[in-house]
Amino acid sequence: MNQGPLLFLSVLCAMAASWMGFVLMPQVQLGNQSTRLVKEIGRHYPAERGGIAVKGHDVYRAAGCVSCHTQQVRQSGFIFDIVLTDAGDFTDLVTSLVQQANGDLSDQQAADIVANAPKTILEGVSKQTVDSIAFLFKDSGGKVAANIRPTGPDIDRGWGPRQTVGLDYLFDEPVLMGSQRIGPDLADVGSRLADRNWHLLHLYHPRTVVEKSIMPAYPYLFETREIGDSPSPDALALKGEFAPEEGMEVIPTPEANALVEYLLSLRIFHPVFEAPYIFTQAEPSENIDSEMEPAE
Amino acid sequence: MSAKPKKTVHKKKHADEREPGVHQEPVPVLLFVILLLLAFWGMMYLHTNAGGFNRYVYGPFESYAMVSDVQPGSSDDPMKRGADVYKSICLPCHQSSGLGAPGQFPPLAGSDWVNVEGPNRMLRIVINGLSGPVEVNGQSWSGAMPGFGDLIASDEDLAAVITYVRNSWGNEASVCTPEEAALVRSESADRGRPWSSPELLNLSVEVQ
Repeated sequence: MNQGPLLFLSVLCAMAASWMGFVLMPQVQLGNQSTRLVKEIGRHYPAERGGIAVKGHDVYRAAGCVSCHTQQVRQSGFIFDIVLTDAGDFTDLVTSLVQQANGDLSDQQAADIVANAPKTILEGVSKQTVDSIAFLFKDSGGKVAANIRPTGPDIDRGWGPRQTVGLDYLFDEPVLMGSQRIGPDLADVGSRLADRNWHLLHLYHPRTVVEKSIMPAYPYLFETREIGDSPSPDALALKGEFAPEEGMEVIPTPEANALVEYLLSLRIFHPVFEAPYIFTQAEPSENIDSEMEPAE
Repeated sequence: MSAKPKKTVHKKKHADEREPGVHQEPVPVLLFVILLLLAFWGMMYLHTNAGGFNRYVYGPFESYAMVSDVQPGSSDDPMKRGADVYKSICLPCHQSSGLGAPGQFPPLAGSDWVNVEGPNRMLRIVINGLSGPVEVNGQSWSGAMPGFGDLIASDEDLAAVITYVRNSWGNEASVCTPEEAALVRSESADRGRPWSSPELLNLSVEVQ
């Protein structure tokens, strides 16, 4: 050990390099973000969580939800839908161009698209195709727009319309991204499952609403008590084997309400510059059972 | 007697092991070459995949230019635009089905407040809110809706969300134009408190 200074310097360099890579650079890159005006909605995003949802964040931590649920949607690619936004004055020319762009369209379909613009011409094409079609319509009087659509396994599962980015976590302290997907991702759960009562039932006993759920029940977030003069309006509507005994009712504690409020606040509904997606109509979840399909 | 085996052990150790010591041996040149190649590969990897360490470049996008190239234009379709405003503002109470919540939030789907000729009353409710008892489809509701006039800053968005509600879930009513939204907004600029049901019923349904 007569090389002490050399050893010290090499360890220092190794530590400094990893500190720069893992701490300093990310901080320089993402550290000083602030809310941003999203022009599509004319408001700043993200908004700070308010009311009992703030407390719900703590309940979420305490209940250990983060050990089975992530809050990060990933995206592996993107495709485009091409929309004829304006047919212009030369409808015959534009109709033939529409057919040129999408060879599968019959004369009648192409004419319909031109007559009812804005209408989608082509779905799910690459950026190159977009550019070539934009070139096709140049100087024709017709206007085409390309709408971007994120793709990837998470997005196919309906876990969110786009990937999550650093900005989304601006007001999370600490950020609860999670790393294990034993249950579904929750980054956009407030949009998928916007029903407060569903969440309360699901927390009291997941199998009341999702038959094959593997999630543990959280009965300690609820109080089973005797019905007083009249049944409480907050009592859970439990049926069958999950119903409490005769004369008893199940009431959510403030913690349960806070947790549900927090879950409902988890929503991705704005495109941001770094994760663009085109607005699509809100589609309620048709089949809630599919929520619990385990992720691979 | 006992000295003999000791000697052999000592001898053996000498034969098998060299005394450890510090030597200066040249580092193989090949190691330097490999390290340099690794560093080069690492730099190239960052160059192609790190998006220039730009905070706006994530995931499948490779550069800032690529992200800005694929930005969608703001949607001109009021139904799409309205759906997004609805999703961000109205959905928590009135639900994605437009049915509201029994006993708490009245329905918008099939509501006799929505399916009328003009959007005048709806606009006012959205801008300033509504409090006190209100009758929807013959059923009485009591509760309070706050005004969202400040939150929905643009007249286009306000008109879009009204149009969306008036033409979704089986509702069939007229489109609300941004001009109508702007007019009602200017009329209710200094109101500052929620409407009540009788007050609204005294107003015409159409924007004048």
